[in-house]
This record gives sequence, C-alpha cells and structure tokens, in this order.
Amino acid sequence: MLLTKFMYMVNNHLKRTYLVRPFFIFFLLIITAGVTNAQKLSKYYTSAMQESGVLYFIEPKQEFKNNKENCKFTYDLTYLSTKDTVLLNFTYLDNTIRVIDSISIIYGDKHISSIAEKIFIETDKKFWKHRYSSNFLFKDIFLLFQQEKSPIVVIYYQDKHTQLKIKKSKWTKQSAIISKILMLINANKKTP
Amino acid sequence: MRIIKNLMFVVGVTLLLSSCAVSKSPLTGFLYMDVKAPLTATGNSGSSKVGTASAQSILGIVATGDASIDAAAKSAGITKIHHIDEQATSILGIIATYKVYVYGE
Repeated sequence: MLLTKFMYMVNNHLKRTYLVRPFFIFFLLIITAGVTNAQKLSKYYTSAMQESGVLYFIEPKQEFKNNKENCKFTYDLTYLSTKDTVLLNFTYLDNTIRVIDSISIIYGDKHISSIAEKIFIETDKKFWKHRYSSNFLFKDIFLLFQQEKSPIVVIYYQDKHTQLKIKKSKWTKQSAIISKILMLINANKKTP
Repeated sequence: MRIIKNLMFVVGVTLLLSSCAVSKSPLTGFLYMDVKAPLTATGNSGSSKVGTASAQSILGIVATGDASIDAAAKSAGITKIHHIDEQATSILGIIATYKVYVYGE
C-alpha cells in the first residue's frame, strides 16, 4: 500500500517535470535571444565605405510623444564622415496637415534649430504622416546624446508649435546606444 | 493537470497548423536570425542619403508592411539609387522582420 502510494507520487512528479520542461526551455530560449539581440550595437546603425567618406546611418527605436495633442515624432540620422553636418530625417504624425517651418531641440540650457525641408506628406491610418529633413552640426548632435536629462523636440508650423517629449527611461537607453555610436564615428574620423 | 494538458494541446495544435515566421534571407536560422545581405547595385556614383522600409510577420500567420525599394527611397527623398541592402531578422520563428536599405542621392 505504502509502496503503491510512493510509486504514484514519483510518477506524478515525473509527469509534471515532463510537462513543465518544454515551457522552461522555450522561455529560456526567448530570454537568451532577447539578451543577445539587445547587446548588439550594430543593430542600431549601418555604415558604407565609399569614395567621399564613410556613410553612417543611425536609426533609434524610441519615439517622442505629445499625448495631449496626440502627436508622435520618430527620426533617423545620416552622417557622411567628410562633412560637419548630420542629416536628421524625421516623421511627424499629427491629426491635421501642418506646413512645418523648422525644428528645435532643447537640451540642458542649449537650444539647437534647423529649417525643415519637406520630403512628403501622406496618410497613415487616422494620422497625417509628415516626412521632413533637417541639418544639424555633428558636434551639437554629439553633445545632445551626452545629456542625461531627456530633451524636448519642438516642431514649428505657421506661427504655432508643438512640444514633444520622451520618457526618461527610454532616453537613458537610447542616448547610451547613440552616444556610443557617435563616439565610434568620432574615433574613425581621419585627422588632417 | 488537465488545464496544463489542454493548454499544451492548444499550443501544440497552433504551432503545427501555423508555419513559423520566416523572412527572405540568403541564410536561415531557426532560433535566431539577423542577416544583412546585398540586394543590388547600380552604376550611379556616391551616396549621401539612406532610406529604409520594412515589413513584419508574426508566427507566419499575419504579415504587414511595405518593404519596397520605392518606399525606402521615398523615406529619404532619394532619386538616384547607388546600392540596396536587405536585412532579415527572426526570433524563434515568432517575429520576423524584413528591412530594405536604399543608399543614394
């Protein structure tokens, strides 16, 4: 009787282990893949060597938001190593069509601005997708990503403006990656 | 125990009936894939702009996005294409992404 009960308990334990193990391995694989993925810096930029210098393209994942006005802002950075300026292409999602004049970034006590040139405007579900281009100095962008405090992006259109912010945790993660890439670019610059 | 059995049955059937999320790539990796490869090159010289476009697939059941060369070139205002690269990523066949990078002027 006691032996049967013991056998039943062992059997039950084995069954449970057999059922739980695949789930455990599956989640372990997901975590491993995630960690491996997160550590790769090359995931966030590409580089192409050519006659006129090295062309870098940085694409941050996080976006700036204005929840009150329901606006979103995403951007990417293109930099040619022989130039002093960084090309900042951005996508601005708004409920109505805006004729964007310029863009400003406020960080610390510094304020950098640039004229925005239209690439195209199209619809994206319920939003109007504005795709614009602007130029900033490399040293200003380099300083921007050194900041611990999250910056504010200001979009100017027809005497009005919209302020967009990013969460502190998102900025900390993003600035750490981008500043590392910018340091890499700086280190690879050819000295005259 | 019965709940776990039923849950495993549902997960198993779902996985068997659905193919995994796979993206077009010269190489394949079932557990993890992050491959970048060339797509094409033109005779145009030099590039100062980069444009991207991507499409995603979940479990090979739902796939959305516009990963066309036109969409990528349009995103950066590129009119003269220098070369095009593609990038395929996949994690455990659950989420797969296909991305196109267009370089040009």
